Formats: sequence, C-alpha cells, structure tokens
Amino acid sequence: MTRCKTGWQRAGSAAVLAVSIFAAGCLGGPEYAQTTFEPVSQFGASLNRVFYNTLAWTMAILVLVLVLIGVVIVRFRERPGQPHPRQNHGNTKLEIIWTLIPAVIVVFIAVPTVQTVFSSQSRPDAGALEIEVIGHQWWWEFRYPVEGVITANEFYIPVGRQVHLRLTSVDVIHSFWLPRVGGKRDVMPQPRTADGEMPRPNHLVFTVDSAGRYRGQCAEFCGEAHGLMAMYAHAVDAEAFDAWIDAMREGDPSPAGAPAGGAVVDTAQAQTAQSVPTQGAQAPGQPAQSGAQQTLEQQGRQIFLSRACIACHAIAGTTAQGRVGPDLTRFGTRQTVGAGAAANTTENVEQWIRDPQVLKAGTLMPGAQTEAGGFPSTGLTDDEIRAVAAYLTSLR
Amino acid sequence: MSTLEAPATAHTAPKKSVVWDLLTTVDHKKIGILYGATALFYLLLGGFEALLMRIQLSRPENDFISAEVYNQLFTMHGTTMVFLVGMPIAVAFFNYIVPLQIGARDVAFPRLNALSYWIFLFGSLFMNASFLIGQAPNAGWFGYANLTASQYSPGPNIDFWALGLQALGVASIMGGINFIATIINLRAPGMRLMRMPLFTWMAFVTSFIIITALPVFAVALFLLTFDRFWGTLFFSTVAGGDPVLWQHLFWLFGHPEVYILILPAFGILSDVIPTFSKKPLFGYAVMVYSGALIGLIGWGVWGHHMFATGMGPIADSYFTISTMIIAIPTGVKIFNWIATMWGGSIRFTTAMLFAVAAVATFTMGGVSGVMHATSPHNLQQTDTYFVVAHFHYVLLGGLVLGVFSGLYYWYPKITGRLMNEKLGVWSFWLYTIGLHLTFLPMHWIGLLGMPRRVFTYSSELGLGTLNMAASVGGFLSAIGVLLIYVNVVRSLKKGEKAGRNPWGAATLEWATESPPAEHNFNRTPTVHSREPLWLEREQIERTAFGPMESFHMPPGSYWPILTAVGVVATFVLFLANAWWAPLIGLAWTIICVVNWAYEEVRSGEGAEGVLS
Repeated sequence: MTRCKTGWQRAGSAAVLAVSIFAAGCLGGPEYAQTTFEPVSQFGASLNRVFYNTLAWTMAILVLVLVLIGVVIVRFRERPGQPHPRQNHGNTKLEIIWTLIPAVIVVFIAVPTVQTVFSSQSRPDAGALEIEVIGHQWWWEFRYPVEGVITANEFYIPVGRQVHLRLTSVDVIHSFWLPRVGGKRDVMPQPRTADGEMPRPNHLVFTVDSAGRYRGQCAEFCGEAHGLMAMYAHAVDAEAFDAWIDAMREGDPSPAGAPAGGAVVDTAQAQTAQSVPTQGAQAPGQPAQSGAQQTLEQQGRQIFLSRACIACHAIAGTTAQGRVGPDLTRFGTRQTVGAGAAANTTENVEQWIRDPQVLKAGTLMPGAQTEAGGFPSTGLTDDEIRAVAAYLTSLR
Repeated sequence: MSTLEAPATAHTAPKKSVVWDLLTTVDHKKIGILYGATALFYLLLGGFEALLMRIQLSRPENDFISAEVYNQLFTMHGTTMVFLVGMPIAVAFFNYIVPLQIGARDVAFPRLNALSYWIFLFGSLFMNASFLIGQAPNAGWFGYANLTASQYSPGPNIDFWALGLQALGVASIMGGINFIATIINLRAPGMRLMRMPLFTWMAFVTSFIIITALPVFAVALFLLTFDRFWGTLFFSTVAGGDPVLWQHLFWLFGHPEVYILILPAFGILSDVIPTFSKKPLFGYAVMVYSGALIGLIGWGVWGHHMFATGMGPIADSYFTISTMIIAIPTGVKIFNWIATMWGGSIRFTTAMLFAVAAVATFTMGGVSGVMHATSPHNLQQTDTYFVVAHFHYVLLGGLVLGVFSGLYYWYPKITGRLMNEKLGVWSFWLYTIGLHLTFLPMHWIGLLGMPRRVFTYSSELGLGTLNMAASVGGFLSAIGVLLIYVNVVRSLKKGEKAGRNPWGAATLEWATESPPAEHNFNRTPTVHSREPLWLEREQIERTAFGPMESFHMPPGSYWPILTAVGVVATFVLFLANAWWAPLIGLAWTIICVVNWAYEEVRSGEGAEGVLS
C-alpha cells in the first residue's frame, strides 16, 4: 500500500513539475517570487507532499470522467436510422461501485491529510527564534522580544534555526503569507492587555533551509491598500543574522563622514561639515560623497527628529520612538518604500514624504500638504523633504 | 386546488396595459420572466465589472483603475453574481417551470411570489444605487468583520451592502416558503414525490436550504447593522466580541448558499440530459437522495473556508473529512449523468452541448475542491487565485453552463419559438473556450503566489503572461454571452415555431401550449409514471388539452409591489440615521399588508377560501 501511495505521489510530483516546466518554458522561464512549488522549509515541503497525493488521485478521477464523456460523445451521438435506445433506469450494482470506490479514494486522501494537519501545527521547540508579527493597515511590524529589535516590512531570520511567529493585528484581519516558506495564517485583531501583550496570537512554526530573500504579502482583504502590503524575509546564516541584530540594536549609524563613534552629531558639527570637505575621510572604493550630501543628511536627521515624523516613527539610537507607523531603523537597506508600493530610491522616498497617496492610495501616512488617517499634514517644504529622504536612505 | 363556478377571470377581464399587467401580475410565468430578465440584466452588469477588473489585472502594476474602485468592483461583482444573478435566475426557472412540471396552475401563494420579486428588484436597485454616489460596497461579498466596522469603513458603502442584502434575504425566504408549499400541496394527481422531475426535486431541496440558511445570514447582518448604527460590539475585540464570529455565521450561511446556487443547475442537467439522450435518467432515486444529501452535508462543512484562521487541528480535521465526504454524492451524480448518456442516441442541440460541457467543467471544479479540502495545503491555496479558479469552475461550469443549457432548453416553452441553433453553437464554443482560457491559468496564478482581491500585483511575481491570457479569455466568454443575448432577442420574432414539445421531452411542462395558456392545463392531468410524455402521452394530452374544467385564477394585485416598496424603504431609511426613519417604512408596510389581507373580501373574490 505504501509503495503504491509513494508511486502516486511521485507521479503527482512529476506531473506538477512537468506542467510547471512546460508553463515556464512557454513563458520564457520567468522568476516567480511567490511560487509555492519551490518550498524552502520542511513546513512548506510537507504541505506540498500531501497536495501531490490529493492531486494524483483527483487527476486520475478527472481523466477517467473526461475519457468517459469523450467516449459518450463519439459513440453515442445520434445517427440516422438508429433504433430508439434501450430504456434502462439504473443499475444498483454499478451505482454501489461508483459510490464505494470514491469513498475508498477519500480515505487515501484523508488519512495523510489529517496526519499533516497535526504535524504542521506542532508546538515550537525550546530554542526557536521568537518573532511577534503585528499586522497594520497596510504594513507589517516585526518584533524580536528577546533580542530587543523592532523592524517593519522586511525581517531577518537565521537559516537552519526554527522560527516561531506569533501573529496579531492592531486593526483588521490580515493574513501572513510567505509562499516559499509555507502556508498562510490569519493575523487576528486582539485587545491588548494592560502591559501591551496580545493574549491569543496565531502561530506559525518553520525552519528555513536555504538562504535567500523571500517575498510575501498580506493574503486577507484588509481594506483599500490591501494589494500593496508586501514583505520580505531575508534568510541569512547565523553570523549574518547576529550582525543584523547588532546593527539594528545600534540603530542610526554614525552619519557618513562624521567622526567614528559619534552616534549623535549636533548642529554645530553639521555646520562644520558643511564648510570643510571631508571626502578624504571615506574608505577608498566607496563612491565619492560630497559634503553637500552629508549636510543634507544631517539636516534631514534634524528635521526628522524635531518635526511631526517622530510622532509615528521610531529609529533606534535616536530620540524618535513613535510606534504608530513603521519603525525606520536601517531604512536604507530595505527593498521598497510603503510595504511594496515602490522601489526604495531617493526619488520615491521624496515622493512618499511629499504625497504618499500617489504611490499608495489609502495609506494612513499624511503627506506634506495632505492629511491622512486622522493625522495632520506634516507641512514639510520641498527642501526639507529632500533632506529627510536623504537622511532616511542613508540609514544603511 | 379548489374550484369555483366563476370562469377563469383573466380571460374575461378587460385587457389592461402591458406595464400595468406586469406591475400587478401574480402569474408564476410572468413573474418567472421578470426574474429571468432582471437576472440577465445583472449578469451583464456583473460581467462588465469583471471585465474592468480583468483589464486592470492584464498587466502587472497597471493603473487602469484605482484601488478603491477595484475594491468596489470585486465586492459588487461577487455580490451581484451570487445574489442578483445566481439565485434569481434559479428562481426564474423555479417560477416558470416547477408549477408546469408538477401539473399546477400557479404557485401556492401567487401574491407572495410577486412580493418576493419586487423586494428583490428594489433591494438590488438600492444596493447598486451606491455606485451613483461612488460609495459602492467595498469590503468583499463576504464582508469580513471587523473591516466592516464603522471605525474602518466609515462611509455608507457597507450600509448599502448590509441593508440591501437584508432586503434580498427577505425576498429569498418568502420564495423558499412558497416553493415548498407549492411542491408539497399542488402536485397533480399521481405526481408522487418520487415521480417528480429532478429539476422540481432540486427546487424542493434548494428551497429548504434557502429557508434555513438565509435566516443565519439575516442574523449576521442584523448584528452588523447593530454594530454600525447603534454602537454594539458583536464583532469587535474591544469588549470581548470576536470578528471570527462573523466568519462562522457568514460561512454557516455561505456554504449552503453554494448549494443553493448549484443544485438548481444539477436539476436542469438531470432534465436536459435524459431528453437529448432519449433515455430515462439513470438511477433516479440515487440522484434524488444524493441531491438531498449534498444539501444536508453542506451544512457541516463551513469551516473549510476558515482553515487559515487558526481553528486548531481538531476542527481542521473535522472540516477536512466532512468536505471530502461531500465529494462522494457529487461524484455519484456525475457518473449517473454519464450513465444516462451511455447507450443513448444523443442529439447535440445547443442545450445538450451546454449540459455536457457543464458536467465536464463542473468535474474540474470538483476535483480542485477536493484539493482545497486537503487542509494543510489549503494554507497555500486559500485567498489566492487558485480558489478563484476553483469556484468559477464550479459556478460558471456548473451553474452558468447549466443555466444556459436550461435557457436554450426551455426558451421554446416560454416564448413559443426556438432559439437559433447556429448562433447557439457559436455562443457555446466562444463562451466555453473563453471560460477555460480565463480560469484554467488561474490555478497556476494562485499556486505561483498571487493573492485574491488585490488591485495590482508586483512584476516580481512573474505572472503578467498568465494574467493576460486570463483577461483575453474573459473577453472571449463575454462575446459568447452577448451572442446568447442576441439570440434571445432575435428569436423572439424570428425564431422557428416550436410547437408543444420540440425536444420530445418526457416531463409535464411539455404537455402545455408554447407558451402555456395562463391557466397552464385545461384539465389537471393524472400522472402514472416518471416520464409521462414518453409512457402515457395520449392520456396526458387528452386531459391537458381537453375541455376546460372550471377553476379559479387569482386576479392581479397592486398590493405586492406597494408592500415591497415599504419593506425595502424600511431598510433604506436606516441611512437617514434617525431612529424613527425606518419606522415610516414599517408603517407603510403594515398598512399595505392589512389592505392585502382584506383585498379579496372587498372585491368579493376568494370568498370560498382560495388563498392567493
């Protein structure tokens, strides 16, 4: 029996693979950033195994039905001079057979399915990396409670170590989905307790096997900008992960060109930087950065920390501790601005600060002249916007 | 049916204008046509909404329409297709065909029937009127809490949706009661339950699902209305409410709703296939029982819409198994249809082409349904285009192909003329090929990672080509549908005269004139078999077309339409946001109902206790 089942599974896998390759061949082999066919975790692989089993059985039935219909169409179409067909009203034996055979097939589908239901929802190991995923309209917040790190829309996980996600939402229902890692899980709104905890999270437990950048997005309709609520999981080796944690803890790095170790640069220093070119201070091989650019970043930093930005946003290592909007620590390393709304270029960041509705209609972030989500407009001038954008993209 | 000495009043009454006649009609056939025409109009509207979405999705990162417009379109597309097309088109056929099939002169409560239609019409117009102010419902046809809460949906969009659907639910429940009463009470002598045509059987089963499932939805909508208008917190976690409660209520209604949509189509196929195979339905009893069983088990599978919500492995396993079990009676139906055709002498009219395509296409939707039931992998499938592919295969493959089959099949009975077969075959191929081109790629689009209900998708997904194929298919099938409409209109005048029984069918509706006289049968025939026109035609026709017996036909009434105005106004006036406003509609309704109740006494009719 087991051998037979394995055979079917193989046939199923082979069929899916064949069709996928065929499809890919037709389409010139594009990259599918969110394919479920190439799982990078045991979690994802176990879902596919049970799927291929079902696929094999159901495809066999479908082929049988289609062949029978084909035979009927060819053999039993009306022909001239044909006698009136024999009038039979049924055949109990036949009907019992085609009730029982599907019933038996259902057993072959249901047993491995139920086994996987339990195995894919097992509890996390003691050494699992704990991450709190918090859904917002329309972005993702990731908190590493043990490491003391908070980030948004892009998060890092170590390859080979189990990850335990605890999923909650602060507003409506979202659904967390990283297709290449495994299945989705809804992100349910929860009332916070007095100490800020959310008592009944949903869980996802998985271990990613290979390094890479994996795209995902919200899968439960959550309002106007649901289509632009993407995320990236960066699976990296343990060392790189630790380095990332350290960098996130440190937060705002010393501004490029400023004296090493000077985490906080005051205005006087910035003004000095303006008058004294500091190109020589940069490491060889790095693109030359003008003093004007540094000044701009410094100005941006000051504007960011003194204006409305900090009401909603946080940057570790600075006084910005707002938690309403996405944490912007090391924002410059991110792929996109606005949870997948646009590529993370200085131009797009400027546009985002000026009027984010252009890039992502519905977003609750106010623009320079437009209010949104009950928040007043920021009133930043074009020069100020340029400075803030320069500062944010410099946070690498 | 009690008889009176008075002759059929409709024949002696002076002719009124066509419009007045339609507004006041209580004739099941005219109401059926009204339902059908309205549903076909909304099919155009819902299809138009779909095409706009397909244009938007034909390319990645397209900006043809905005996110807000897209969200309104997919919400109204789903709501329209389920509540304003799928259900009323089935009710149209129930209305027209069921009384004829069981040898009745009308439904049990003709005025209630008219009331159902007018509430449906006004409710649907109200819901769509939201487009005029650019505030159409925008939270999906499933309207998941707590996105629908005032906090997250402050506009009137969701109010249009909830109040409109509440009105439609009233109409559906009244319709369900009407058909149950009709089928139980108004069958011709000898028309035992187990002699009824399968279509009437499925109407019977569907009606039971309607009167049990729609109230669940009504409760959910009331809770939502309370939350939105009076600040209760049924679906808010703030005070211990739970948005998942909405999901349970919605799908407890929503899954049986799927069978409300599909069982009538199964009934159509079970009538069309034997007719054109020239053989009786294979395994009649099993077809009846499996239909009833599907309706029953359909109540125990709702959780399969919620595998990703985190119900836990025990509940997941239960819903996995119950869902897979429902595949068994469904499979039996498919094999029995094939066995009906096996050994037959099949005449491939357009109606039969649609029927055979429906069996094949529905099977494809059925197998992907079993894949969904594989709950661990459902976590990959749910809320993606894989699900969109599945239910469009089931609903377009089963319901729409079935309905088109029924349209080509019964059109000559309804109009007296045949639809054009050449045009029919064209429409069939265009629609069917377009359907598969649209929805077959969506299986891959979903498994390659595209979620549903997104107004745009990143080019990183690599899904531009497959989406373009789906969009092209959408337009192809739209051309097919338009050809059907052309055929419907053109054949009214130019179609070949059909005669009483153009297909040589076996069931009683073909023992009437085409179109049937208002009283359907001159004398109610006595039935001795399941295929009366094959086994006892002379006897049946002798009665049906013989000398008239005396009977009472209910006269037209304007109270149903006036009552409908009151019922729908009651819901509409919630928008005024004053506690007393809905009471105006309620008062109007009560006045109308009282007048309705005394109508017959006043006019001196129905004195013998004929309720209408």
